[in-house]
Amino acid sequence: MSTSGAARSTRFRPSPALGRYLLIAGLALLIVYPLVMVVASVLFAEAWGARPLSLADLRADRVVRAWRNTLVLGGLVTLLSVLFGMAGALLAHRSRWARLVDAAMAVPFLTPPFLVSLAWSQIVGSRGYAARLGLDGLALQDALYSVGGMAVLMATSYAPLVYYAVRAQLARLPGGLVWAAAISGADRLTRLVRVVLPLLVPAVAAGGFLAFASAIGEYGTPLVIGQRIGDPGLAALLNSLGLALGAAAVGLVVGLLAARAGRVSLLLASIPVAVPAITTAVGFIRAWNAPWAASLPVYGTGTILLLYYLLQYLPFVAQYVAAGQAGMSTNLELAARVHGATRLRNLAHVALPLLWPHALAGAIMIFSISFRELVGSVLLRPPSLHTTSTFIIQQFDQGSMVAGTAMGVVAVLAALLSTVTAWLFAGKNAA
Amino acid sequence: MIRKLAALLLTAVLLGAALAQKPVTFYTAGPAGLANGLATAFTAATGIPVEVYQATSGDVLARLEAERTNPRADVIVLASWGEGIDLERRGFVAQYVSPEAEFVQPGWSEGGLTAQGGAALAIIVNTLEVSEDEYPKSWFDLLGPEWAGAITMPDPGLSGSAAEFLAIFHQNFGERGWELLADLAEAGMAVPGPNNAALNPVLTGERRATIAAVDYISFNSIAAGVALAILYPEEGTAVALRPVMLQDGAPNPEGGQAFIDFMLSAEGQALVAGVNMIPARVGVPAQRPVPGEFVALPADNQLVADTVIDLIERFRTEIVEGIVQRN
Repeated sequence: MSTSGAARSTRFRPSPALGRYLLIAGLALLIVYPLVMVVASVLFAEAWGARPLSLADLRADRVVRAWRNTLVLGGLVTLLSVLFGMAGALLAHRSRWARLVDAAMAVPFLTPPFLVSLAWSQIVGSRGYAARLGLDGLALQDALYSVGGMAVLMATSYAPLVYYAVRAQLARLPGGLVWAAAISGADRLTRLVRVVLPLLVPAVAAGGFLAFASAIGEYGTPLVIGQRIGDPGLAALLNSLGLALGAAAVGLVVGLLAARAGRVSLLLASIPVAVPAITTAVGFIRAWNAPWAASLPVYGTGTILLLYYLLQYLPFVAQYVAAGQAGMSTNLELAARVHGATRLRNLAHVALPLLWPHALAGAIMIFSISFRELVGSVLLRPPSLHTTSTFIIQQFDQGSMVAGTAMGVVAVLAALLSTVTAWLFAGKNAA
Repeated sequence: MIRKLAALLLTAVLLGAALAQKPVTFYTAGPAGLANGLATAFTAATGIPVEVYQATSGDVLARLEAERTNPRADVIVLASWGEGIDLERRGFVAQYVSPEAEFVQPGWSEGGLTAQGGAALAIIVNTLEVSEDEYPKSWFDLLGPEWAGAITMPDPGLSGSAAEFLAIFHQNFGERGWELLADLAEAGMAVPGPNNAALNPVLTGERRATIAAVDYISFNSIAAGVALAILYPEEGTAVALRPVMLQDGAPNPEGGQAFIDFMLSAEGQALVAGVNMIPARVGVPAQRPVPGEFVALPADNQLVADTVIDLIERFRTEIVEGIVQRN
């Protein structure tokens, strides 16, 4: 919309098309090239002298069956995530406790899924904590390990994706429309259903899409890789903090630009979320360990993790910003243009202030999920570098349940602290 | 003061030597503590630094596969001999036979593979829940009513050593062994996941025993005061050997060969024995029972490699799905 308007006017801009093509080329290189390498390795397996990782698995009908289950589960998770996320956002909006709810919603997202399932396995069962409190632990176990139970559990993890998208949208809701409806005699319910909810559609769609893609992406991985779960944990914690922060900062800028620069770049930036983490990770190794790229300081250094987090979760920012744009009136930008504002001025003074909450919400999500990412980190990390998740899983693997759990708690607290700080900062800026 | 200075100087010299040498990259599906211990001792002895990547078998194999066009790892240790043979058949393994390999147990070296050590797949019971006179003496004792709903087993689809067990058990007991597993499943055996997932319910007391779990981790737990007992049925059980190999196309083959030699030397094998595995080298004392003190089932390793995939699939369709349908 705003971009097509810009294409029509020829009066200003030095050469915005060049910037856009560079962005598209960059995204294509970083996102599409590794995927091409995966596909090529499957197609030309013989010539490459290697059995493709997942072709045999993909052929096996068990994976097909699992995928059918995954799609059903993914659909259910998305539905519940949208329900939980929207309800939470509407309740938090204008509430005194909004910041508290913002922080609380981050907890399930920040907690590594394998820790959540471990925690539940300690709670349910005939000897679990629930049974010790006099509850029926076995019935609880049956309920939890049903499709419905898994869906509820997973939805608590992914509801924040919807919640934050809707929160950002609500913060920028055109108040005039609600007022107009109120003056015309619409009651609260009518205003909610006829005015507010339609305005939230882009945000809900973006959040729901991200929840669905994340749910099936994350669930699909144990099939291929197995779900099996030294050096000081502090180093691992600092590594994760640095990498997640870097990915969020760069993702904020790139995601914003990609969403602003038109459909092609938005589409490119949205691809990764629909690709299972394991596929992306294998593609990254094939792409950056290839003979022509191996001498670059990418694979074998921390850069590969930074790049992986950035690209795998770039859709968070891109989709949030796109949703924000869809809900934004174009009149302001057009007005600025009419008064002779350059593209840059327009971006800095009109679009950015409006899109800022969306972009920041997306960047915070990148930080949170990068901080606890496991599947790609395990495969891509340089031998001696640990992230929080790979460290925790190694502790569990060696039978050090206590060390692993302790590190898990510290990691979640550290991530929570960072996230709350970011939200407070965002609140100050959005106000 | 002088001693401090000397130590500092020595560190600097060692560090200088380490920096001068091309590092060995070591991928292992074994325990991290052992891998780091071997790496440190090797570096102290030779000055060659070692980069350790420790992960599960699945992760190590996926990474090797993805890096195939430009190998990064020199030395690889896997948790299952069958997986090692599979890797060798697909051209990942250099035909390096260490001069130390002639000192390992007979049959523990084959082609480019040599066992680093071994572990048995045992029945592990919670001693707070199971009294000594209840200990099963035979695999088939587990069909008794007192074991209904009380057993777990690691999933061979996720645990390399459990898959090895399945193949060797099937070689020795045929359909009779298969019926045992099916009957156990009928009686409420759970197959919750990899080794740890199977062991956890036994640690909490929710289940009384796990079968076909690697024993060395539990020896370590018992040493740390956990109430477990490790039982070897009288018919015998599978011993999973952990192969070490030099990767074909390794970036540092000389360093990798030296590291393998060290791993199989008396000094390296003492470290293996220290984590309660069965050392591969004859004459290195084990700190735990070795084959002979319990019955080890004979195994045809090539046959294991040939059959294991189909057996995993059969286990999934006949045992795991049966459990799912009953629930």
